Amino acid sequence: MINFQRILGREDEFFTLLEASAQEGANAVSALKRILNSANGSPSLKDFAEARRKDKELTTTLEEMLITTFVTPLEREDLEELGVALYKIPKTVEKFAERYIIAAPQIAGADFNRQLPLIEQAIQIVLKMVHALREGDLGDIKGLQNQLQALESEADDVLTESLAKFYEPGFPSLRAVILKELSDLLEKVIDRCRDAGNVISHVLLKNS
Amino acid sequence: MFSLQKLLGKDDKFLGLLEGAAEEARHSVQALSRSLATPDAVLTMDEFVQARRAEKKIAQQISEALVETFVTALEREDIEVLSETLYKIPKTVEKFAERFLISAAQVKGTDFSKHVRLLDAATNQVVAMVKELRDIGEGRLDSIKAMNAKLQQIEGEADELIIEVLRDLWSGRHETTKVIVLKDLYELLEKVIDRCRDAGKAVTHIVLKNS
Repeated sequence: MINFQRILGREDEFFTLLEASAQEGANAVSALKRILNSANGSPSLKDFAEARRKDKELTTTLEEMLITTFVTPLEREDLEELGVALYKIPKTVEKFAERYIIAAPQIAGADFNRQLPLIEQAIQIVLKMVHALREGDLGDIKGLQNQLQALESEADDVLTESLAKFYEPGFPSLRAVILKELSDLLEKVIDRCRDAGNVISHVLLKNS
Repeated sequence: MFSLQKLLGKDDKFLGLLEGAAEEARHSVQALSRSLATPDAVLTMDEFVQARRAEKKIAQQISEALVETFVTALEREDIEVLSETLYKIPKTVEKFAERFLISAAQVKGTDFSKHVRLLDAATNQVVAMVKELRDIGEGRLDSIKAMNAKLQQIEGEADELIIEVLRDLWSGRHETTKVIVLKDLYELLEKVIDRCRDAGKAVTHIVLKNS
């Protein structure tokens, strides 16, 4: 029997998948906060791997639906691009966490407290923007995108300040190498949030 | 002379070219395996450059054939994506070889055997998956998904391996320049496997669309 709903569109499912994907990004950031705040505990990668694995499943389902669904609520290239952008958030957080854990003995006392609040704010904005997508609500999307851009720019400044410290003569070279890698990865998490925000703004503008 | 066949499609030609591209990718990895298996031998760039050039030539042939051909069995965007992804495999291998060559003194005696095993497995899987494109249609999706899952598993192992080597590199037992050089090399090898994963994903996408 022909399933017309399958052929003609599963609008609600697409939005639900995108929202769930953004939520996994937020879960990964929560796990990141726990790991950075557990000064003497033995941090585990379980939460990160779980968030990334779930997001991967959601992205794969989204990609398959894009191929098998005849009519999509938004252009399929846009949906695909957003799915990939959202997946990269928990993926980059997990990459940071893996490296943070193995480098622990070399980076004792390292402080990422300036970058973490920026990441937390960025992922919350992404969540709001993904929800706005379902409503087709252009409303304050420009304002949210501007906030994301401002956070990304602030993260760039924080990174430059950190690098200036690592490059000072006498700073232990291995510690500098490791901290630079970790700081770059945290900055990349905000870049990924900004990328997702850019796709959403683009989509909403196109469909307004 | 007006050629209807030329205008309407050369499916076999495209499939042959894509298979050739996958084989060239595998050749470049095989050349790398041989070089790394004999660490005292002097590495030369010739074989890597040739593999990359051959791949480039195939990619150009595909691009030209796509322009000349009116109807293709597979969507032309999909052929283009797969061709570009396959080209990136020998290109990344060549990049690794260049850096390996200039850092020979720093990396002498480094064991890359675990990476080589994964690289061989990944490129073999890519070649097998591209060959599957000759039989796409109903009933082939499960088989290609299983092959892709295997490729994803290899990529997962490569991710774990990079963490294992970073744990050693960042342990404080090595001189910092060596840490920087080896990290760069290990990441390039991981990238080769990522490129293989991308090719597997492109093939799966095509099969899914045509099943």
